[in-house]
Amino acid sequence: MMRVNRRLWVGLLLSTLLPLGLGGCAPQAVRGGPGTDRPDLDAPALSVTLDREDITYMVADYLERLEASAFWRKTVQEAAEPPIVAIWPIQNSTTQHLDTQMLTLLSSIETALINTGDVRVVDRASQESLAREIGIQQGAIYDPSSAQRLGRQLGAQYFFTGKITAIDEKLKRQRRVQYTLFLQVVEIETGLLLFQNEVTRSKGMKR
Amino acid sequence: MRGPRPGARLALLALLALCVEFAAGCATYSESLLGVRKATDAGNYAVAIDELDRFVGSSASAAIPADLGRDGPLALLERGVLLQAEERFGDSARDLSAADEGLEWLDLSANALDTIGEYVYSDSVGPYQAPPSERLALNAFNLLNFLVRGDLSGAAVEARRYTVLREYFDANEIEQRSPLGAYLAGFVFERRGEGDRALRYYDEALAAGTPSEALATPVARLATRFPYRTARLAALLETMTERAAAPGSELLVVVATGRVPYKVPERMPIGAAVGIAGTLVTGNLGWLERGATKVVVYPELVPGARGRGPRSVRIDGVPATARSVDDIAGAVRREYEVLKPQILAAALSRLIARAAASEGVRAAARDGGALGSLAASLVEGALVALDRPDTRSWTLLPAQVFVARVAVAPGEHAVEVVLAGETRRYSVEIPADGFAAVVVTAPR
Repeated sequence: MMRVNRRLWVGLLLSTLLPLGLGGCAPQAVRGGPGTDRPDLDAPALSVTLDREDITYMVADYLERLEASAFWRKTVQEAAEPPIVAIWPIQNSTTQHLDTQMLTLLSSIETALINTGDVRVVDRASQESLAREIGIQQGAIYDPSSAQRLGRQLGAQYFFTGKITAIDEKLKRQRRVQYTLFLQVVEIETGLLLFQNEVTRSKGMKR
Repeated sequence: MRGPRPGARLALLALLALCVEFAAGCATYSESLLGVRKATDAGNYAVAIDELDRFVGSSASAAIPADLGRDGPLALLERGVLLQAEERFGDSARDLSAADEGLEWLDLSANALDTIGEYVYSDSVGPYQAPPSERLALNAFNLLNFLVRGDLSGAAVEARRYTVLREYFDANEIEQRSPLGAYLAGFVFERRGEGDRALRYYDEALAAGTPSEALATPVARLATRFPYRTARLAALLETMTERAAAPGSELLVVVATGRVPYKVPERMPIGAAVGIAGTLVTGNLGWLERGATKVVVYPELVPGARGRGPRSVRIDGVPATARSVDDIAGAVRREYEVLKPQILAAALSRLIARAAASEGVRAAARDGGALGSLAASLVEGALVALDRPDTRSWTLLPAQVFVARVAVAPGEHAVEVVLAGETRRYSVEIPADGFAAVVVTAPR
């Protein structure tokens, strides 16, 4: 008479019972961040996309280097009056749809620039409508001739622009995305690059 | 080793009997979507979307459910096509992106429970693993959702995602290309001024089977300004007699029709299945001689809806040529044929496990007589009833894709696309040196 493998019985029971028994755990909302019971809620990475922690880190690094640069100390701070600057949308050259992150990034840069008190920043809403009026298509890459046309209309002297790139790799059960944010200051009239900074951040997933 | 005690045996038999009852009402994936396919065939995409909403567990197609469940990403792929057919491109992008994210996690997941389940229960117990043809098509169709809204940056993201996957398949020695994905990626990077990168994608599209007539003009145009060459591109350029004009403003019309083949449960005599699956079968084939079942149930591919090209594409009343750029149905068929021995081997391996389980019950019944035989038959019958071949696939994925690409003057243009049984009309505004895309998805 044949002998029964105990593991077969266990496997049979598990495969029959577990699909029926799983589920029923209701999601629970939690509050986190500074001043709450879970101040570290934002710390863990939940995906390979950029989150606020990454953006805060990148913008802080950028500003620190910008304010320490010769361009800022000599050209901006020593100007007779605070120069007018505009922010050209940062080009997303990654493998992630970063619409919300880009808005956060642009707004963070805008906030930081305004709060230095050293420059006057063009309102982005009016800049976007003017860009549409002069025929710059949505998502257009920074190009000097379009920038010059737009800059003149806005009365701006400098464009803050840049791009974010990603090297995205998958191998077996791992994935890693290496982000690099390049930010630069372009003199609109001449097209000269007056300042450039790059900051990197990597995100990964592994099982 | 001893079998379970009599009490446990009784409980197991009762449970299996319950499962037979439960399984009797269970349809396979493709059977569950019969209503969706019928509504789609009739062009009632809104009705089909409602059906899928119920399947996804979403009260409306305006949302992604918090818990997608086992087949959620697959259902979102299906709904994404229907939303695109309804020209709800933003919603379609949301669904396809969520599906992409869901499948991404599955790619990286390892679930031991699913493996146990697959062995004894059914292949479809595990989360859906999309085959390479579907993974690459996903990014191509989502790219269209961005392109049609003039969002070149979003389209470029999908082009890059396509590339990451293609490189992943290359690294794992999986030979899979998407002519549509490569063609569209080429278009996106050409419009972004990245000519060499565009040429690389056009070369990839040519290698993957896109007819050279569909690519001759853009390749010739780029070749005047960018140096990237391959033997294929050079050969194509030699056939060009006319000088290509500068890019200027252009209109891209993409027409996706039909549906790829899908899977249905099918029976095959065990002997024939063993002949195809060969050495891939795990377990002792000798068990099958003792089992009552003499056929194996497996998922067989059957034709979807044949994709026909548009009867006509007219721009401002002038006919434009729409060329076939991708035969996705053919790619799905070829992929299935390669996998068929493994699919049959999995079905046979489950059959062996069931025969072994019923034999175990027979052995465990102490008298070994009528009760043992009855118990063994019950167990085998229960497991046969529970075994549902995995018929999951992206059933609404369009079968054929056609493209018309025409240089036009900046300004407003009227586009008319005539398909079998319907005519769609659009008015598009094209900026100077810009582009507009019209996407017609008709998965029937």
